[in-house]
Amino acid sequence: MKNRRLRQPFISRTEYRVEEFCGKAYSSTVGESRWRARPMLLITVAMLMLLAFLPLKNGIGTVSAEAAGQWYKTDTHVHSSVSSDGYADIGINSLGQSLGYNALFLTDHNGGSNYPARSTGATVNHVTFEDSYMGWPAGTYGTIGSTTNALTSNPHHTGNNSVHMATTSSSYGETFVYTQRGPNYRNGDIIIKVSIYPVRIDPGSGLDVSVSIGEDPTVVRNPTGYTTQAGVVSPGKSTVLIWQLGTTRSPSSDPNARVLTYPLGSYTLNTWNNYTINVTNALNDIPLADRPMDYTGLSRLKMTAAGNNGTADAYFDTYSIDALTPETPQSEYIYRTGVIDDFNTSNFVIVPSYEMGKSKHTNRFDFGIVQASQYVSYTNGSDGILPTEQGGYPAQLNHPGFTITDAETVSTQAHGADIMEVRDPNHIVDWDAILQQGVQVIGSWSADLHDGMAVGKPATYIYAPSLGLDDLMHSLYEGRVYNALNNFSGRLIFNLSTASVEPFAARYPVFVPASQSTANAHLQITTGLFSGDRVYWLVNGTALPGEPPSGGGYNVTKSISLSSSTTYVRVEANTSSGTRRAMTQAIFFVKVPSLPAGMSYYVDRVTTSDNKDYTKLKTKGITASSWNATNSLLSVTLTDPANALVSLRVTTPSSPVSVAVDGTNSPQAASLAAFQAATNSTWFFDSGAALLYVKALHATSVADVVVNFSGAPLPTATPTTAGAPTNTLTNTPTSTPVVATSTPGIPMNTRTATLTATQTSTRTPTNPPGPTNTPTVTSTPTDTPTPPPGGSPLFSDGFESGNLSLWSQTSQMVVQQQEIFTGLYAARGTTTGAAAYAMKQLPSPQTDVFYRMRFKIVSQGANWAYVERFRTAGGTPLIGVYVTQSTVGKLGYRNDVTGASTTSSITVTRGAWHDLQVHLHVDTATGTGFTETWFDGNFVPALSKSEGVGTTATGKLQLGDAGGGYARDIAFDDIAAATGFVGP
Amino acid sequence: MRKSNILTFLPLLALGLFVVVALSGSRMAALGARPAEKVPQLAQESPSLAAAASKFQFPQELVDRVTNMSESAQGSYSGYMRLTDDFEAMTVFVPNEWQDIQTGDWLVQGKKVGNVIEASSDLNRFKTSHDVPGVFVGASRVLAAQYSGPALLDLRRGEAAAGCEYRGQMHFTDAFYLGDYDYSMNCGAEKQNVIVAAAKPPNGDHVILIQIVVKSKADLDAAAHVLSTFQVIGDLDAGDH
Repeated sequence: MKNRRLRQPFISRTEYRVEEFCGKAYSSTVGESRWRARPMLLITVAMLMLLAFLPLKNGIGTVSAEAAGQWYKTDTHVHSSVSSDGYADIGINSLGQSLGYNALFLTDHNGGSNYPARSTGATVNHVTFEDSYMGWPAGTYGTIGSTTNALTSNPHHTGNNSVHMATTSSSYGETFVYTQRGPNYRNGDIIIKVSIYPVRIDPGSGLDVSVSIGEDPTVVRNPTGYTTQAGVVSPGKSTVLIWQLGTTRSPSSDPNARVLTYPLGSYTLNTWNNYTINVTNALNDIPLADRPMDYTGLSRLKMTAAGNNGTADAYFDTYSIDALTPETPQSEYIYRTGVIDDFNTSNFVIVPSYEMGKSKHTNRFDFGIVQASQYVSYTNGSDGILPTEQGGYPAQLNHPGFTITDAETVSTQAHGADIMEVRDPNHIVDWDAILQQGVQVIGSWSADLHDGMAVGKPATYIYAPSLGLDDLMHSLYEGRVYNALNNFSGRLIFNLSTASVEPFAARYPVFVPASQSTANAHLQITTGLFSGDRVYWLVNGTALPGEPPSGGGYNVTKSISLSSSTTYVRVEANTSSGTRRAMTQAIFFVKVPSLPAGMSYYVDRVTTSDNKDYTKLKTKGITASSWNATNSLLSVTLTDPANALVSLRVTTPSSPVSVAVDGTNSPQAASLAAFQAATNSTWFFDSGAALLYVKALHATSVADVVVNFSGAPLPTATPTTAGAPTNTLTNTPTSTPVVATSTPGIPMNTRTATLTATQTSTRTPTNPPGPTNTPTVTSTPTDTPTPPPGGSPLFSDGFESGNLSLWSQTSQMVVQQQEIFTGLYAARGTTTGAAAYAMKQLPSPQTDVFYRMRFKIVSQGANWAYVERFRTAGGTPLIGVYVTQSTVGKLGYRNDVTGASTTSSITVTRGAWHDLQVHLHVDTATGTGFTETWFDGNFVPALSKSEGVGTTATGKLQLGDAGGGYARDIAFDDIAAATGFVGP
Repeated sequence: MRKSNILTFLPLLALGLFVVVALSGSRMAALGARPAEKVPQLAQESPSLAAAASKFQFPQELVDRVTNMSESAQGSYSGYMRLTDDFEAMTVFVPNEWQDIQTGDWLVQGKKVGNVIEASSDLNRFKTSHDVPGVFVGASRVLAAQYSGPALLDLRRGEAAAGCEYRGQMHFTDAFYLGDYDYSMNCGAEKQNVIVAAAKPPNGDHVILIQIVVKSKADLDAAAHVLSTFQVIGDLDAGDH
């Protein structure tokens, strides 16, 4: 239920728009009957004209005609007067449609009118002038003979200083100070208090305090304007209310530049005179047709000394303007929800959104709240990213380098945001640094407007099936987006080849054979480039030589060198001076070991059941995949919301025999049209295009797709697809091991025999061999030798502090929110080659250390990745626990003293959280010792055995891998160490 | 939602779009403009600003020269649009047809001294050969502390002397700024006319430097609009919001 206020019939709003497009005055209106009287013939003709000319306007006739979606021009970051530093009200912002905008995301500030001004920290409901110019710039207007505008301590009324202003003019001139914003009209009576110490007021001259609506033309030449209560959007319109001593400005009844003047009262020279003004009473003097919408804020509040063929000279002090009953942000945003769509049309929407945080600003795009409980406030907007994603919508990190440092932006990978602003050069540097970590963040351009729309501002163009919020968010998240100035006339179609007329969904990487040295990408810029412009392709952040446009456009397919395991390419169209006119998203290419030449695959689109949850939290696309050369099987693990329908593309010269989803063969579609219409798992092979279309319907959040090219039955133990455990072995001990009783300081020497017993366990595959080998990740031993918790705690960190302050040394390890096991934070080591680890020095060396962690391998290259290591206090490595390369993914450890490695048959599934606990006992007398390992709650006999690691006890624990040279991305949470078994 | 009205509104919107596209297209075609310029504009320039521009006085020899240039036969601009810098600290109105727009830092010897707005029908040609009209508007507090307006013009004149025939300097003033402008002729291979203006508010808080290439009477009108509408309206030293 929306909280709607009384408003004019809709027809009156459409009328002004029609006039706007006809080039007439915005603020004038046309009688309703005029349009109702139009014959249907006119309507029909107009529709035909629209059809004829829209392709010209868009310049993309062929693209929009052939594709399912269409391009929408948006700004993902716009403020209105609901923000304490915004001038443009919602109606004024709606003028963006005349620049071709289709959607403006109205991201008013955290707190709305209570958002503290950057310059003063004050909110618009309580503004003061006291002692300094902070938040009160000085200015002049008119013809000035001489002017004074200075702070002085003598005289002053309160505090330490007053402001001395004097103007002498042979005609009319003002000296003033002003502040930007005051309250809107929804906060009770607005009261100004001010103290004035007049020194001289010549006849015709005067002193005043004033407020304006729509901005004061003595401060800005071209006021922003405002929207009247009748809903008439009136750019340039101003109403100024002035309270005078003597005479300053003359009253005016011009409806577009109205001036209402009032006497401030009597005064005595050379002493302080105190005044109280009820602004609200004066607002009622404005003729009804010119009264503003109640959410339009007072602006350009002045204190002035005006000379008019003479001199005015005075001191001003102790100024305040207060709204007596300030509205809560909750109420303000609920009200905004009720009025924000007043200016929407079928082709233009203002979306109720929200810029979260007093610092570290981020955007939430779904903020049409209707209940107070839905309002949220953050000190750091970055804290709102995860809740936003949990609510089903993507979040955007705003203006890196401002309110959040560039370094923090990079190290936190934009705090896990799905989108980040990349309009400024430093933003783009940060973006590249994140992309180089193999992390996809969609880049957006926005103007962060506070003062109404202007030409040449950055905009985000989204290719979506409709203007609905969910459709826009879907496309924005998946990266069917380019960025360009708002007057850019062309389109950027960035994809893999000329065969497609739609933009590539850049969120999802293209998986290619490890042996492949190049891959093609295609960019068409339909028009809009100028003579000196250059097009730059950037590969992993390095720009190739610029290329000139051809006839204002550009259409090139480029071979991209794939020199590393992960490569991304993006393109910029820059002006002759190097500024960016337009840019694409980044398309990633990820190499897959042993994948045959000529084969590649990617997610084309994920469609969730409710068209929400397009976030990094939920919609991840392919999280693991592998190629089984023996049986010609392509295994792909998808991680997306349950019931999501995933559309995959596989480039392959030959048709598969079958495509199975979660172990069940999918039906083959009879045609591409049938495939496209399908809402369940299916597939279609286009032999001419050598392209396999696959749809996979998630039963749960993880779906395993197996494309079988040989028809051969699957092997008993399917390989080891990262994240797709097609055949997980189950440990079934035949004897019950003795439960370890961890007693601090007492080596559990008796365990050797016990461990020997467990190693006799037989392992029975839970899945019988078959052509559709159902993945099972659950390991269900009949007996788990898990000891009860015990011993003394040594250390624990769930990273809920949001940092790594408990760790003594870190590298490439960050605390983040997008991959967490519990709570709000977890650690994550993401690297393309550098060491990524954290070290914890224990309080004292321990002969028995139980080291427990939860970890998740987000991605891993073709090398082992260590997840933890035991070290001596001096740093000498003792035992390092690893997961073998991505194609194998087995759990093992290395005895760093002997150099011997032991790899178990335990498969570590990618993209899933695991529980690992390893006990290392060091016999400081004999040098003998042993290990015990539990994985996902199950005892691992193969990794529980005697290990001689010397006589120096464990004094330091390592999280992650201190080795370098290969890529991996591993998240860690709930770290704990104790001298006995660590409980859940 | 007001779906019942949408069907009524759509055809009207179509008609409106058609009129704008058709009108602006014909005007721009007359000026040799690019297809890129067919975007509907915010017609925000107030009557008072337009009136101020119409009163702006240029030297008669400059008026005569542009009136006699062949480009002057090509008509006038379709209107004026509002531009702001990256931080909404500075604003100016320029012809709708100057769609090649850049904003950013004003760099002097590699160091940021303020903010810039540039606009032209083709900025590269505007800046390299002066063969198309356009404008550079820079605003700086740093330079205001170092130079008076005329001193800044002296510097600028020195830079441009090799390619231009300097013809004189004029003073102008309005309710917000006190300024001077140089006008030069026969600039570059195209023998164009260039106006370079520097202005400060009475309190000297900042200085604005403007350079305009004038090829036609329409460009001279554009220069009048630029010189009547430029203004610093916010904090030049501010970052993003």
